[in-house]
Amino acid sequence: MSSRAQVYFIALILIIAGLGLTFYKAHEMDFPLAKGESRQVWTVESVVKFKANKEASGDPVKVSLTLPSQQTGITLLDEQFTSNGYGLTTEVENNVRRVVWSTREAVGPQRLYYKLQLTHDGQQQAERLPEPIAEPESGLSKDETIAAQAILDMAYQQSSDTDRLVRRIIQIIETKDIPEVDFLLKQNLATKSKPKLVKSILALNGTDATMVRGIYLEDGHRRLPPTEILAVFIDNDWHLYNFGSERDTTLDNFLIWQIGGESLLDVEGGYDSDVRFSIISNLMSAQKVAIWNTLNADGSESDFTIFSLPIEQQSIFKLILLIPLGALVVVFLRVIIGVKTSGTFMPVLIALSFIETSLTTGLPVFLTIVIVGLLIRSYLSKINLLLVARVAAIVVIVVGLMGLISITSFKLGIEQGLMVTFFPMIILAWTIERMSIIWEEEGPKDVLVQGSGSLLVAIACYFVMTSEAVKYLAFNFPELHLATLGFIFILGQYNGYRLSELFRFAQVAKSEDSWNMPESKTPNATKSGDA
Amino acid sequence: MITSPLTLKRMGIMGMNQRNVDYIARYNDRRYYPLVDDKLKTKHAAIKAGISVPTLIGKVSHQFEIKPALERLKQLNQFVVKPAQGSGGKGILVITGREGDYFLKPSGEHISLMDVQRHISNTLSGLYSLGGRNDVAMVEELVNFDPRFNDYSYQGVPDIRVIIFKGFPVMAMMRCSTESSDGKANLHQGAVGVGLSIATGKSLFAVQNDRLITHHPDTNKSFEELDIPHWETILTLSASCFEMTHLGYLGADIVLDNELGPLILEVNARPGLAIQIANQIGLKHRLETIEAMEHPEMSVADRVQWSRDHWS
Repeated sequence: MSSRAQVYFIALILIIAGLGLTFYKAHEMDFPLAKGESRQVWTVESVVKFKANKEASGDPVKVSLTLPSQQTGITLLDEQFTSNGYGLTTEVENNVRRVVWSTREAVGPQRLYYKLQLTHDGQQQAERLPEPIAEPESGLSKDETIAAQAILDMAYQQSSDTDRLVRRIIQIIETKDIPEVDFLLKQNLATKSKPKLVKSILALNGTDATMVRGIYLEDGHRRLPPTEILAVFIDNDWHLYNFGSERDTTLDNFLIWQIGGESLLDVEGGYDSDVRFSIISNLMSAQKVAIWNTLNADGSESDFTIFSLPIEQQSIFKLILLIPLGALVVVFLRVIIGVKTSGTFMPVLIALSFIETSLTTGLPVFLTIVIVGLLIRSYLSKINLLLVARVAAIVVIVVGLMGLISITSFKLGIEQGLMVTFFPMIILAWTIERMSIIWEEEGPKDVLVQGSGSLLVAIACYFVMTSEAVKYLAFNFPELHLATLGFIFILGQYNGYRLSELFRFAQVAKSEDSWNMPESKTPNATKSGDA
Repeated sequence: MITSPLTLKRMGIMGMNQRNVDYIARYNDRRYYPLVDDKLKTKHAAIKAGISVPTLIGKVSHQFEIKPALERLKQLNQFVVKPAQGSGGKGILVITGREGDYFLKPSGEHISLMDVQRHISNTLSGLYSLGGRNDVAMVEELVNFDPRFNDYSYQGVPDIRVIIFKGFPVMAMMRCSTESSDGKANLHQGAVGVGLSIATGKSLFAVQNDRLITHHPDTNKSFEELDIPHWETILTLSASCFEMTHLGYLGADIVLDNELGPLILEVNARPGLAIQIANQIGLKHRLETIEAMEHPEMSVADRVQWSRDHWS
């Protein structure tokens, strides 16, 4: 009995600690308990990757990255640099901020991080674009000018005004209608920039254009290259054009990183350089944002929360922090309800895949793979294979099925079928293997019972893990998981009946009424009946 | 059909959670599990403890031992091959006779020496074992079942399950396979469970698929006349498994041999709860009575007598 008391004691402490910390965080640190009463804070992380010139170790490496400045509608709250032993300076030149990392020690692949927090009130305007140049320079060589002129002429004939001209030029470049495009793109290979090519072509027409580099603020994007928007000066106004996107080109929701200029990133002493952006949004109370805004760079060393992690890891944690709740659901359904599942925590993993694919597409795809897999597996059991080899064979078959489903659905125009790749293959293979063993050992009825049990639990986990409130609390108040742990402890000590057992033993209970058991005469029955 | 948890509690029906938390976790030390999970180890321990088991003819542990083993099997008329760590009765090959070079199965099917070889090879590579682990094939003497039970079972073999708590027999049942259970003695697959009186070994109730029945569905034999012979021996054998395995809460599976009498087939560290349905009574009150005893340290015979005196 004392061990049980111990468990309850620990569980109680965990629950009190979890709820207490949450309460403290909500009231003393002004973290809002619900979404809504808060401001959205965007965290943008840029990763600079390059390879240092190998043989030249000891040679200086200098990396220079343009930084965004304060702009209308966007408030920059805080920024952090991770420099891994590099010397770090920031400099301002022509109102453009740049960070410069430098070292003599770099060998092999290098990574540098710059992280930025900002709030955005949706009133972004393009008013910061520079004064246009009356006679812009194309910067093209003689051969290139001829090719560019050919494109311009073609576009000019097929358009009525400057706006249409620009659209037509973009179209010609995108579709590569005439061979000159390929030639020019090859010449332009160093920058690989189509917008830049358009800018040069327009210069021949005497129209000024400039490039706006930055990123759209959209939650959960990872490792995106910078978006390049072309701004063209037409009729005393800047018009915006976007490549490779159907969307209306506006600067709403756009964090401008750089206007004009040659490039975002310059690396000396390295090659294969690349800059990528990850974006995540979290919610913080307006007050917290205000405090942060005033304190700014202070105290980031002592910040021991998930928010101090790189953003890529943060978005992974958004998912990971849901898993304890999935586990709690599994324990509840197993211990209190008595749902039979195949594999204890497999349903949580299936639910995680459903989160990626959404339930409506994930469920049919999952069922298709498992059913087809079972059919093929039934043949495998005729030829005797060792277990490991058999599961490995199923993994290969699952890969094949995934490819088949992707291709078939793509050809049929059902894009949801492509989601199949979100299912972890090993999980699928094990599900099939287990189901098939149950089929052989206990018959199809048990496959149905345990299979639908697993799916039921997976769907329950899915609904818990996709609930907005749960997602918000799990990520912003990870200390709540102490309480989750406490509840799991308590459930682990539950020795009462499962709901399913009320059905299972119903017949015995019924017989008690009609038969008036002879057993009840035994002394022990009355004795322990009181207990 | 549903019932209230209060009714179940009053009747002392034990649920899965209670079995796991209050009995298996508390009374069964994990380090004693390997002894019961491996039938070969169980058998050796049983022989050491003087408990009757089917005679072991030999074992095959490695693929290279199969060939010499087959030479020996050729000289036998009857034998059983089973995996030491098999689960749910899988992989048991029963040979009841010979016809020339062929071996005869109980169904009358003829199999060749090659088939026997493949069966043993599969057993060794873990085809029939929990988790597919490499296993050992045991060759045992065939149990000649007491003909009195012939009509109580369809195809399979009826076995007797006795729950032993702290060495006291607390509940017993006979499991009879049926056509719908496909010859398997598993209650949730449609086998018949017959509750047995601890005091007398006579039948109390018979249950199939959670419904009370009076006759075997395939052979139409009435369960009312069922009276297990050697009842005292059966209880004594099962009760002595407590000393042998050190498990506080266990299920002993017993078969009756025509000549040798009751034999322990295997011991289960996590016996199921269906026995309560077959007996139409809960385990809880009986277990609590034993838990409340001040001096449970008695000899095997005393414990058996104590149980028979207390429970009909």
